[in-house]
Amino acid sequence: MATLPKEIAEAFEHSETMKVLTTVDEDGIPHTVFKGSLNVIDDETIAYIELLETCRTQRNMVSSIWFKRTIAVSIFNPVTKAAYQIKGEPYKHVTSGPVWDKYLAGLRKEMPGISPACVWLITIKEVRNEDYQFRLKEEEKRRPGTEYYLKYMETRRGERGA
Amino acid sequence: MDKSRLRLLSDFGVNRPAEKADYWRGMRRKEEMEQIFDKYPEIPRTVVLKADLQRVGVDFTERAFEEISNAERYEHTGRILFLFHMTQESKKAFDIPSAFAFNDGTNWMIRLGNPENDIYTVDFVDGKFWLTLNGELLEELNTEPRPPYYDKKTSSGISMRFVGVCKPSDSILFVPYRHCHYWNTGDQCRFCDMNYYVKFQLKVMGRQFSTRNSPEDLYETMTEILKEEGRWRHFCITGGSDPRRMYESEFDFYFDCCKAFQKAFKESLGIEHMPLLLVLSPFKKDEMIKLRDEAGVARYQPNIEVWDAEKFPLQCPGKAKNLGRDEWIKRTLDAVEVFGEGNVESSLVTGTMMAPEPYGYPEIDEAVAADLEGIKFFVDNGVKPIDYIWYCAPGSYFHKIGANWAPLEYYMRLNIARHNVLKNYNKEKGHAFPYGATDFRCCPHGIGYDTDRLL
Repeated sequence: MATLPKEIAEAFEHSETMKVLTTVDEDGIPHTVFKGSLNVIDDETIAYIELLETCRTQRNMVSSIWFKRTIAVSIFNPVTKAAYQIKGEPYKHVTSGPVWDKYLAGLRKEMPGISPACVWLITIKEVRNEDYQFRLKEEEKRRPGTEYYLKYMETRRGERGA
Repeated sequence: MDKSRLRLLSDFGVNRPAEKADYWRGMRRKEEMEQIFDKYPEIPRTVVLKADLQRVGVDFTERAFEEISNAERYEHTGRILFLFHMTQESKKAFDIPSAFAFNDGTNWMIRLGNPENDIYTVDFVDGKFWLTLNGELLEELNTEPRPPYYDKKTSSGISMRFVGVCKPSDSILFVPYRHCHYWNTGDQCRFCDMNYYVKFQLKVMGRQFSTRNSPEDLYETMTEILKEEGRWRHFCITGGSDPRRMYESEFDFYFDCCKAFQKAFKESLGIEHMPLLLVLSPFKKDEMIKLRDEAGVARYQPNIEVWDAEKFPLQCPGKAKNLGRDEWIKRTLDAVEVFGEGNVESSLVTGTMMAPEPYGYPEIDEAVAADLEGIKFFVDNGVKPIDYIWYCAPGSYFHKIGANWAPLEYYMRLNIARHNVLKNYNKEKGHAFPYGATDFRCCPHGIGYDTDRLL
């Protein structure tokens, strides 16, 4: 299990942030969709409200909880440029109780009368900063001794594009 | 048995050989469960557990029962249809919810089992309920909050929690007529405990329990239920069969009941057609049209219970004598014309095909093939097949003759085949059956609609 740093939780709540959910089906085929209804519950849990009971994402979420398949949530904020990927596993399908009541009430302010399928609670397994400079440093750490080659490649960038 | 019927298994993806039924008899629960997990990895673990729980039942530790029996904190069901237990301990039978849900949303009916049968146990550990086996924590369990209408009474003085009972998740069950006329002549279905159980419940529950609710009781209760915004999405009405005047008596009563519900829906939500599923005898076509056009009914489930032509009259003599299998099927197909493809369902009581001979078959694949033939017939004709896992209820004929449950492997093979029948249907038709009638949310008795979540 991983914990979600405060700045990522804040990025989730930022109105400009784009949120994407990736699931896979039984054949391993990925399904990636923009989902506004992804929220942080605490530093170990993300909530995802699914609106449609029988859609591909919902079927993949069921498949994920049954067969322990990992899902991924990516967020990007075009204003702050914050970009993160969170890997997780759905662990609970919620249709009543305080969590359900809270999200249903919030959703119905935007979409009166909507009957969502459920709220999924997702345990956070891994958090990755997807910012380019951050990833570059991570790759340098992961492959020590590569820094001179990467530096050289940096200098060749313009030529490659030409 | 007809070999072409047995071939249906391989046609629908059941290729591994089954063990002999005797292989499983007397096996310890844990061993059977683990062998099934290994042999059928395509069936989710919680679905295997659910099938097993519905067959053999569960018990509570003292601390778990002390917690769950708090009626202010948890929904306690009225159990107004069948007892749904394999034991009759009156206190425990009524002071528990109707169902638990696993974390994945799979609901299962709490059926109290006989502890001598190596059954599962519900424990309460660190503020949470857990399903356990031999002390090992298997799955976390979730309960439903007590519905607010449970504290209300109808103007006739009946507690609303005995008019409509909260089934799991988002569904309410109404059973306004708790007497099956087939019992009057000894022709009740051989797995059924309805009339026996009603007597027992009258004794235990006393005056607060009534065997018949009026349409007015239903109207008032539904109006109260609809006040809770956003929670309830499935409504089901069922009850004992009444074949008098070729089932016209049954029709007349339920038509009035549906009109009462429709009035509540119109007044509360302004809609004419209700998400109401009728689980009743198959009525005549003109009666079904009347239900659809004048009472807002959209979905219908005239359950055949047993498909096999030879076993049907043995297991369901009341249905066989009063209407007959052919007419039952004909009217079910008429219903598809009235309500539309997929808006009609028919259930099989799965497991009774392995009841002692002559009621059932001795081996797993003969029993699976018998049920599968019915499932395929129904799907080919636009009827959604539903499964209710058989439990041997005290008071039922099968209990009296010492029948016992089918091996878990029977349920796995039937589930795989059923799933593939529906998958083929979706592929051939380019669409799936409509959603919203019997499904994993509202029905805690079978496993077919759980794996339907992947379709």
